[in-house]
Amino acid sequence: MRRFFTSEFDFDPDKIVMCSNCSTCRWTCTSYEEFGTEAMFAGGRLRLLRSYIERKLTVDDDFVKAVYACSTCEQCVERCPIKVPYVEIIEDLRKRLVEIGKGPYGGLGAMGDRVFHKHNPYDGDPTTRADWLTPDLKVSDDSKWGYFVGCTGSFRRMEIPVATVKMLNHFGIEPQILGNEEYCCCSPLIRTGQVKKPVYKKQEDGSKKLVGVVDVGEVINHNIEEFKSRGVEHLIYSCSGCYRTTTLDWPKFYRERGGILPFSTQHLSQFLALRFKKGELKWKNGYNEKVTYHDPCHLGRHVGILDAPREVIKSIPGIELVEMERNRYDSKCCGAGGGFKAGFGDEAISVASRRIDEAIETGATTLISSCVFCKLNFMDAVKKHDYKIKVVNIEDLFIDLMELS
Amino acid sequence: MNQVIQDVRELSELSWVSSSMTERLSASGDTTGIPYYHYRWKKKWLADYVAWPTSTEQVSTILAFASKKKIPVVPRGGGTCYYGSASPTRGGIILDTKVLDKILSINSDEMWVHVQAGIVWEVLEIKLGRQNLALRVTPQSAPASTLGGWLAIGGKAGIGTPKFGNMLDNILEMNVVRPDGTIDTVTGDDMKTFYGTSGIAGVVVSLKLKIRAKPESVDGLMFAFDSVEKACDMARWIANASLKPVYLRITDIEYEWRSQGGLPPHSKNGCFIIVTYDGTKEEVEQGLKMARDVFESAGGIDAGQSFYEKNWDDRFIIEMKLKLEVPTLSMQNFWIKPDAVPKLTEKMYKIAKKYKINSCFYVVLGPETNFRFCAFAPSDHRHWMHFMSGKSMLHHLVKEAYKLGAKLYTLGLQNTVYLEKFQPDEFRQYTDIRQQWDPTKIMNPDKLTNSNMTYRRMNLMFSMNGRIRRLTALLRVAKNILQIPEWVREGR
Amino acid sequence: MIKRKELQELADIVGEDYFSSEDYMRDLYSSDIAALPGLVNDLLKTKADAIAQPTTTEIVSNLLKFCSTIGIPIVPRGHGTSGYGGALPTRNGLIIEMTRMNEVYSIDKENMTVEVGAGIIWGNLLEVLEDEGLSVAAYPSSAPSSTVGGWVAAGGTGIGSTKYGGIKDQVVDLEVVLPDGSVIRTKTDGQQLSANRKEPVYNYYPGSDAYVWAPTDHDQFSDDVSDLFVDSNGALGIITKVVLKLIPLLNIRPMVASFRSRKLMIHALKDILEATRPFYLHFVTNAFYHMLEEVEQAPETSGHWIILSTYEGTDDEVAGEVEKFHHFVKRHNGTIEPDELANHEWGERFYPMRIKRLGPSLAPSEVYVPLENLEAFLKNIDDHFKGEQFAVEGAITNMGEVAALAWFLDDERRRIPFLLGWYRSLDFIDIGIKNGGRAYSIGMWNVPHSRSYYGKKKLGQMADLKQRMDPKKSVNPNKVFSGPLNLSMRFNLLIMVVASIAVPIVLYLAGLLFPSIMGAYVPWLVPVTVFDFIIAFWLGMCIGYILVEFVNLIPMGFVLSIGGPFMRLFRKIWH
Repeated sequence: MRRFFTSEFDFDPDKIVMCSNCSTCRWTCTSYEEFGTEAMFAGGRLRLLRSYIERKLTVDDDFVKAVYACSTCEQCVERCPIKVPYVEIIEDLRKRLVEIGKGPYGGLGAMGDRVFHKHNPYDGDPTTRADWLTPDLKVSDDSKWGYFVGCTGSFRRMEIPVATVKMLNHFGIEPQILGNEEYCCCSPLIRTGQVKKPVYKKQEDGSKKLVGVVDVGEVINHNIEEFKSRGVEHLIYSCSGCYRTTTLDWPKFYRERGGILPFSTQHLSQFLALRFKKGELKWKNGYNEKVTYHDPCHLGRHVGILDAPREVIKSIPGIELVEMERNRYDSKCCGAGGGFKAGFGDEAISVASRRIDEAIETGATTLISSCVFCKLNFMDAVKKHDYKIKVVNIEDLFIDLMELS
Repeated sequence: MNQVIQDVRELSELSWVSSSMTERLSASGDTTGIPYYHYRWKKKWLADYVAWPTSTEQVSTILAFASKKKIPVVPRGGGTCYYGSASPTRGGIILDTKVLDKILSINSDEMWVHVQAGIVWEVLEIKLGRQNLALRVTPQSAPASTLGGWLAIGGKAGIGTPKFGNMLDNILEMNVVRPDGTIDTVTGDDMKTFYGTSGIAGVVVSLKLKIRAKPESVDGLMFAFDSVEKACDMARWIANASLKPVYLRITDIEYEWRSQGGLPPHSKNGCFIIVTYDGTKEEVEQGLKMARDVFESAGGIDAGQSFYEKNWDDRFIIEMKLKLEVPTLSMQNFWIKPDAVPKLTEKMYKIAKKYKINSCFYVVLGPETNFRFCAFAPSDHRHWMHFMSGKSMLHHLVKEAYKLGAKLYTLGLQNTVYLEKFQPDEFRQYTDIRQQWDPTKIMNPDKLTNSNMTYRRMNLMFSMNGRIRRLTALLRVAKNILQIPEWVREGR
Repeated sequence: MIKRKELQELADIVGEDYFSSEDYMRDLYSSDIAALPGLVNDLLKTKADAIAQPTTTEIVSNLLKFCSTIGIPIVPRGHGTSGYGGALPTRNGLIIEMTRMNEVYSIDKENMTVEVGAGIIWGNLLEVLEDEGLSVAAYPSSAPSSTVGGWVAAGGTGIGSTKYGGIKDQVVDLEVVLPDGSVIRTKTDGQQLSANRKEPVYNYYPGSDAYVWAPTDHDQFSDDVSDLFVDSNGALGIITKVVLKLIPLLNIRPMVASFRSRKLMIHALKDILEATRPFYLHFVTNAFYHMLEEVEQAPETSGHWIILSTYEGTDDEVAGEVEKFHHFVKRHNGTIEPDELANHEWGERFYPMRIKRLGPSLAPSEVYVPLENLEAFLKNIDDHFKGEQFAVEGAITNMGEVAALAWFLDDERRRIPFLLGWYRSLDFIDIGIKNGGRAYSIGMWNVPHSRSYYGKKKLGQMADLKQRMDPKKSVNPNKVFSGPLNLSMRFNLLIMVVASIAVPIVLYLAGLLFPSIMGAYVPWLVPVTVFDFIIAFWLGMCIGYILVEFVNLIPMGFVLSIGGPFMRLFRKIWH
């Protein structure tokens, strides 16, 4: 097959040829809703990419912005009649932009630098990673169950790992955690294309000095080998982003080194749903309110876990679950994923507030999600616009209703 | 071009206009790439500005400005047309109407909705659905196309058209901006100048659309027939009956196989007909019973409810599913009487075989027993000769179709070339409209009234292409007999 | 040929009941599952002289001691269910059939291992383990009839390999009888192998040190040398006992999805392998499906490209995986088929030869291809074998490789086309290797690929061992190390007769055609009288004999690697 070559791109056109620009993906697109121009939706970006490749244009800032203004929510893939793997293409494209030094957009590059230096994208001190672990939380070093905390849980929302470990303890599981040896799952880096990014250090005279290269494969391999050496067979996740990356991206990076992942992965909502099915989940208190569930894109559309969280919520006594107009596979994005919140903060909040509007329309008083980022972004929107709605995650609900806090 | 450069300052003062390369690139173009010969390589395929007017006044401002400076303006809806209706040919300003997407008022007593023309059909349908209302007609491209867009290409065959007529029949009044910037309200027969004219008479900003209450039930069936003649007879019968269906489509076996990836049992050759009724429960039942009786008496075989549902669920973007199998879709739509369909089909297969193209078709019922016949020439645009064969096949088909009394359904950039030769009356009509309303010729240039390509040149090009392709095919045969060794071919 | 006296001695070692040198038995044990073209059989004359069925390790050891002193070639054999010629007696000799060593010696639930005799059939082992609530992690698709030792010796992957890896990952320890009759445990006695390794003594100047290749240059053997003996085809010694890894018996949930095109299926395969951890991931191409259709065995699926993905584990695990499987099938426009169909297909996993009725012969060929190149490989195969009737299926391993298996339909009753059609099996492997793959198993027919298959280091170690332990190359000759061609006596005579007839005719014709040379310089060479013709006839026979000696020295691997293209050419003409 003929390939188009330009000085900057070497991109396989077979992938974009699939798209016929029918624009079916347009009006649901997260970034189209926000920016409202033809360059800012899935099909438009592919058309743009095709023009840039075929006409050998030089990459400019607007193009980079357009490429990075995607929250990788995959609504487009869901609506596409032939399911063009759009998110795969855009991640590949971002990878190439980073390779040629034009990406990532804005301050997103700092994440890669921080992962290189501190193994997390939040600039947290790696030695304080396990500081949330209080003595009343039971963890072991020989259990078959592991728990991947994730950077957001470790540095930003410490209540989430605390809640999760309490929950696991409640079911008699004392999970292994990697503690300070846990590195980033690399979701933010893979989403923003920083799979192999050179890290520079500013010197006193203003010039930049190459310090090293952040290599996602190495970071991922570290995590896997750690879990493998500790004999972990089942890994629990409280973060949807980490879960998605582990399930879909880690095997790609690990295969060359060691074959198939040595453990199975389970999101916390799946875990709870199975406990419920087995009759082990007995709620202590009820929750007498009308709630609605927001499907995180990384959990729902990316991996296909839609029923498990709903089963858990429905099992709570007294609760009334109403669906928003767009739910399950058609669910709207909260605007936090794919580097969108990091790159386009205000826009991300206005995306979230539109989703909250939809939730309020259903008459629900609580918006339940199962993703740290969704919760974070919704909280920001609630704070900004003073919405009268509670935003909680499933594990928060569990802790409240089981009186574990 | 020079003029545009002079006016940069004036235009870029407006916050809703952009001249960034990214925006211009993404807003110039269509679902398909348009072959270079339609631009005659001197013309500019790329717009200079993209404008997103959010009110009638802004539309008026930009049109007044453009006609004063004689800058071409291309109004753009969803950009889902296959024939380049919204592609700039001389640069200029792209007027993206998709930001005009508000519902102004809904009147559920008189059953109309006043809505801005840039709203996407599917969004409107959803919003009306919340108040238990529904649209009367929708195009097949509803998930992406806008009201203004379907109006401008002259929407006649879609969902609801057999029952409720074409799009114009469902409009009560529209607010337009004339090319010189005057704002006007148009009703009655005057609306015809905006129907199917690709925006040469002005930009439609908002319109009053007839709506209806949400139908109580929607159901249909799918039957397999062993010949196109029979299926067309049946379709005509159904269309002429007093109880009109809301949607009727005939597909051939190739199309069904390619789009659905599977065939109903007992259907080794022939074609399929799917028909849908909606309305009250009794109406639907009556319609279905009638259709079933007629089909069965004609020897059709029921394809089963699951296949009907599959096809009905895919009614909107069905042709896109062909992309699973082929990289490039070239197609041509005709407006045709049912008795001409079998003849045209026969012709199509014959021509397609000559050009070695796996052609297929579907037919959708419009108002007054007319069909939209959609012929596909799947090809691969990365292989130029292959792509051109598809195009030449369609070109031949157009000639044959006119002989059979059919007309082209959508004109746009690519089909304007046939207009002067085959539809002289309409060509004159369009020229008059252009003369009357757009004397400066800024609105959507090179559509309907003027063509970059002459018919003679096009004809010559395609007949040459056929010859060359046949020659290469011959050479390929020769090459197979006397195989060139691998190392010679690799140039070692 | 084994002498009568030696036969008696062999029978005494094994026991009269477990020994046979009768003709029908010799025929029975002289071929494996692949139907060889008649001509190849004539050429190589693979016929054993005697068959022994030892019951204990000691007997095997005694046998080897006896044979190594006399130099009788030995071929170990399981049930002969492989098609790579690993159990063919190319230099005749004694076949040691291991199927009498079929005991389960011990099950160690603590370490989750089981020790079995090499001759136990997988199916029986699985049944025994099932009663204990255990299972082996992977077993071959020929499990109902193949032996544990056979699979260990042949190497490869099978059912369960997608999650747990091939046989290499299952073997913990082996008991091996080395060619000299000594018995070792591969897990612990690795050092013993290097014990009698000597610095090579050169009686001549071997050249500069930089150019000398000596086994000592290779890494020392580590303690655990199991890897060396797995997939060694018994060329290094006879495997008598095997210690395998065990897993608890968990529930198994097969799922079947069908797709409409190759592209969709392959993309789905990639995603399924990445997102879920299938126990066994297997696909069937549309050609295979159409053949199944012809024998009316095809499942009622909506697409003709079928994926069978099986999940194994606790309820939690399986439920989670199945949910993800559903998602990814939907993503690639596939259809999930009902559970009954999936269970049926899972039940049929041992019987890929359902299409044999179309043949009536089936020529199989298998090769590993990386999953990334699968699409290109299948395309390549379709182009290459245009006009041939064949079907491809495949199973994915834990390393992301596809064990692609092709079945070529043929009719062994038509001798010459069948012989020429043999090239397809060889070409299939070549194309796989061109697409970044490697041979599936070495046996005899894949001998040209043994270097790429084992890797330089391992092959070097194996060669070192073979050289020291078995200098006469009498244990499973011609396998792994190609060794010289051993043509049958009939063929040798044929060459001689042809030469002896051809030489007088050639000389006579030369005399007629080039009198200026022949008559002028070597008039005595041109036969004139009958006596001259007889002399020339004898001369021809001598030349033929010299030729035969040389032909017999050509390595097997060389013949195989140059033979393929010739056969392809003739097949094209013949077809």
